[in-house]
Amino acid sequence: MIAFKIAKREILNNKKHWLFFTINLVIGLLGFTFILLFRENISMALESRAITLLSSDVAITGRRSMDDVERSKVQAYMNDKIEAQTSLTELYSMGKSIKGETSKSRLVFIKSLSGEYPLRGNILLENEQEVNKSKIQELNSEPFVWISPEVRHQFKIDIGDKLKLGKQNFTVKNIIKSDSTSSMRGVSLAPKVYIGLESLKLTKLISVGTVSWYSDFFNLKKNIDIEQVQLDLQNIITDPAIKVKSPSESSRQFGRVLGYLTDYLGLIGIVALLISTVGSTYLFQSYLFDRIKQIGILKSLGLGQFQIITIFSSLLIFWGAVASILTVLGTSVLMPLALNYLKFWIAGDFDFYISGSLVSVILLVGIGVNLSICFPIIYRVFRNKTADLLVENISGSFYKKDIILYLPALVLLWLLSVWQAHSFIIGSLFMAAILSIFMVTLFCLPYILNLISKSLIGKKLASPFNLSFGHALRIFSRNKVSSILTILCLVIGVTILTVIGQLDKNLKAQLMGDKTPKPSLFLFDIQDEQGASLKEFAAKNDIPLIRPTPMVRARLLKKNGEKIQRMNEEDGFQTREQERKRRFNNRGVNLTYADGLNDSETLIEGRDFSGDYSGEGNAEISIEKRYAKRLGVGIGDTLTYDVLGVEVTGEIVNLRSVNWTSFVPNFFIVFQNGVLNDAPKTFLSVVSKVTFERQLEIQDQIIEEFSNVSIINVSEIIGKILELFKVMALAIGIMSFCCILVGLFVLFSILQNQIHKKQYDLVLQKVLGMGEKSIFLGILYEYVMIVVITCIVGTVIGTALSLAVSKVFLDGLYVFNGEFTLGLSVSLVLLMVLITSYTFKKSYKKNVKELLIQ
Amino acid sequence: MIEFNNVTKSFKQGSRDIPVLSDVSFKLKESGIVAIVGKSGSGKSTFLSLLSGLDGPTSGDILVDNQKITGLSEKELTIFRAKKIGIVFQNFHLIDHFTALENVLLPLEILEGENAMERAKDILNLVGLEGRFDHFPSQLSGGEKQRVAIARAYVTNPHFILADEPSGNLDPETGDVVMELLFKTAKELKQTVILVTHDHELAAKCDECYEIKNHKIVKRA
Repeated sequence: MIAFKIAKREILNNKKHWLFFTINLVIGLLGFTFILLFRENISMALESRAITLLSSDVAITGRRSMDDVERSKVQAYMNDKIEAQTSLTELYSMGKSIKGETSKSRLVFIKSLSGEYPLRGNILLENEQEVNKSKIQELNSEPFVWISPEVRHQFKIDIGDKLKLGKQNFTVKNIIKSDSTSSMRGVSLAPKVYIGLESLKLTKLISVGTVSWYSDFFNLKKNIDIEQVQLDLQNIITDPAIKVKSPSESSRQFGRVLGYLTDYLGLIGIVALLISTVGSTYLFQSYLFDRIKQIGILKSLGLGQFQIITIFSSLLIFWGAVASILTVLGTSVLMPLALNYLKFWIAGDFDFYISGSLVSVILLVGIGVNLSICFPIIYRVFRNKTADLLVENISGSFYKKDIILYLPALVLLWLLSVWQAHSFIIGSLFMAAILSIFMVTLFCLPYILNLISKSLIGKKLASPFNLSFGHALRIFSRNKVSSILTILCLVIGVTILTVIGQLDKNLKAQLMGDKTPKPSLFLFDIQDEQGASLKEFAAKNDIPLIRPTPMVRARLLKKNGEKIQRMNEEDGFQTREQERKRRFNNRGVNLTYADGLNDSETLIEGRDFSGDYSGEGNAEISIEKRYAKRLGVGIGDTLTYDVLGVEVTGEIVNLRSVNWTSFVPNFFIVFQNGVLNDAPKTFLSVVSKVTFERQLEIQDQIIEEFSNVSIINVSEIIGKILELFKVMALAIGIMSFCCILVGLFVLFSILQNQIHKKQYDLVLQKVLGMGEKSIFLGILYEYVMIVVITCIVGTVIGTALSLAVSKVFLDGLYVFNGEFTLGLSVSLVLLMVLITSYTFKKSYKKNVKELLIQ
Repeated sequence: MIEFNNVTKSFKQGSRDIPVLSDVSFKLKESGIVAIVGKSGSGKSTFLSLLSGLDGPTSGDILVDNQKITGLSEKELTIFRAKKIGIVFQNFHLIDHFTALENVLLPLEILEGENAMERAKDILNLVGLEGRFDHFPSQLSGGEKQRVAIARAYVTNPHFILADEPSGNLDPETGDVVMELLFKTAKELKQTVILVTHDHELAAKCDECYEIKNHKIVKRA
């Protein structure tokens, strides 16, 4: 077909142009593909380890153990289906090392084992011995403990040393080398220790209200359908607070933590793709506009519209495909390095894997995005008459109705966003934000440029400042399409980096700010009967113990009288909102009671409690505003809770905001005084800010007297949160920086193209007597102005977005991160100077004689 | 005065040398309008690029007003062009994002001349573009664009105006008007115009005529 022959000639005759076009697409696709494959690889790896992560075929787990009725029903159902079963109890508690004269106490996570554990997978001890039934028997025979390397490091203890847990001293019997049931490293609240279930009883740590988890594991006989068993068990155990887990759900649960991060990274990948597409669009438009006469000639020679469109569409498809393949190859090189890095965070090996379907998706994205954005340009050229094309007198105007031409591209990008974010809301909000940035830039910039044109451009060319600046100002403000496109390429990257930079400072200010001093220690698992003696003990030992707050474990039964149903997991694509709703519905809750609001709470809507509960009608409830939104309730609605078998109904009388980063005990749901006072409960409390040495002293004192009380070191937690944010911010920052790099490369391509087009202008200026320095300065000023405007627009939009995020999520005063903004702007200006110098010098020397010899 | 002393210009094509001008020597006094004629590819444009210092000869010397331009640095050449040469191109070559007035102002401001604005406006009036000062090239017709180009070439009052087929891209009628304007302005401003053309009829109207033929420049009767 003639169209393909011409297309082939176009490729061969314009290699350099298409090379730039393709590289442009490749670097845009790279970020997107990288995140896509990264996520898929993690998901694949976790899926392949799903059974070992769960440690069995099916698990029943909850904050309470199954009652006798539930247990007998489960046993009756499972009787002929299981090969093996075991149980596990997990809880947080304080551990205290006893080594000579010195002792050290810290929070640990206790796993108490019995029978055989894990049913699937393995636990390796340091002497390469694998944990089996006899090893667990041995662990149960005496108060022995196996400790994780982190515990060994933190407590400075080793095999043979003593570790006190609750009321019992344990001897360190071994060190855990690896545990296939663990996934995340370094982000847990406390390091693990393993004891026997029998020994747990000796600690006396478990009592009513203790924060603990109870699991029953089952291995099924061959050919038994795991998913069906899970479904049946969910019907047997109607309490949604007790979960029935299958391996696939378990791997998804582990993957979710990374999932949230990769969701955002995926979105930034789309930004990079979008920026590179803006660049490709510019290059393609420039290419097509250079061929207007050629198109006219082809049409006049009798080539049909379809065939000519085929020429240019096939070029887009071909180069889109080439870019996609190059991207896959590039990612295949980079991915193993990234997966290797992941080993620091997730236990196990990750082999790089890429499926045919993933390659197809990348191909579709590469071709689809390219074609859907560039095709409207072809259409806009083709609506001109042949005669006009021949004399290159065409209208490239953009009409309002032309927006329809870009609808396929918008829909495609929206679908990609929803897919990457796993959320209709976040994906759509993201698309809306990106479109807003585009719209704000597209609509505001012409006005800004007009303003510059009117206010700064004087009658003399050399005003303001000098001839080069006056020249640059004219080109910058009058060559609107080019200036705006170039700014668009950079502004999104600058905006995202600004948001990250601003949020980083605000999060640090919130978590470490001096305005609201954080407590030093957070105490939990204080038993009801210990409340008064702990207070007395604190007063006697000069411990600044504040705010003992009761905590009652409950389960939401009804909303406005309507029963809450257990939501089972569905197959296929699920948004994060669906996942959250399911988890939300199936979860137990912690309640408290109080006279009114405390100083870290603010009344948003409604009224204060009317006083103590009179015993008649519904009790009064105060509910946190975001929690209320998630639950879909407001003032006047009723919520019914099951508190250890007793139904308690309350009516919402107010919505309040909570300053969670105050790190004092706060609850989503607060009942008025007099409703829950007699319910089984534990207390939470905090020790206000003291020196580090005093902190350790108090910790030891409390543990000595109240061995079941668990203590969290608040500054350590803040450190962990900041560390986690740092990792997330680093990952998102790298992606955003990649966006900037993509933007800069696009800019480089555009600059090459523009300087090529400006060659006549450059030579003309030379012919008219302008020196090389003046000509170069003219170009440099023009592009520095572009970067300065980009930084201003990006900083304003980014700051506004971070302000909104900060107000919604951090509830605090906003602190502007000026150093970051300045650093980013200066770096960008310097990069722009480098790029402009390089491109100019390369082009300037080539074109001296071109003007006259034509 | 323009003087070519044994000027040879050749281009390399692979390993071959393609001669354009070969051992050319001639003198040109400042005198009205001089036509340079020759067939396509004879070397007319090369002659102009040598004369304007945009390209150097392979051998030989070129003197303009007794100043040897062949040995000048790029910076000196820039000053030389700004002061002594004005060029009118076949394709107008106006700066798209400059108005007609700004296009004419540019060479004046490069030289930091006095009363630049008045002079630019005067010369635009002289070429008949009163009322079109603030129009951009895209808003002007071909003839108008060439008028702006003529005004720009004349505005610094250079010693020589080099005109490379100035009517080549215009319809005959507009071309005639533009050429008439070029001649008229040259006479009014008493400047020397070196006109490169392949139009012998037009060349006949000039004060002197040279032909580039067989790599040489010869005076025609």
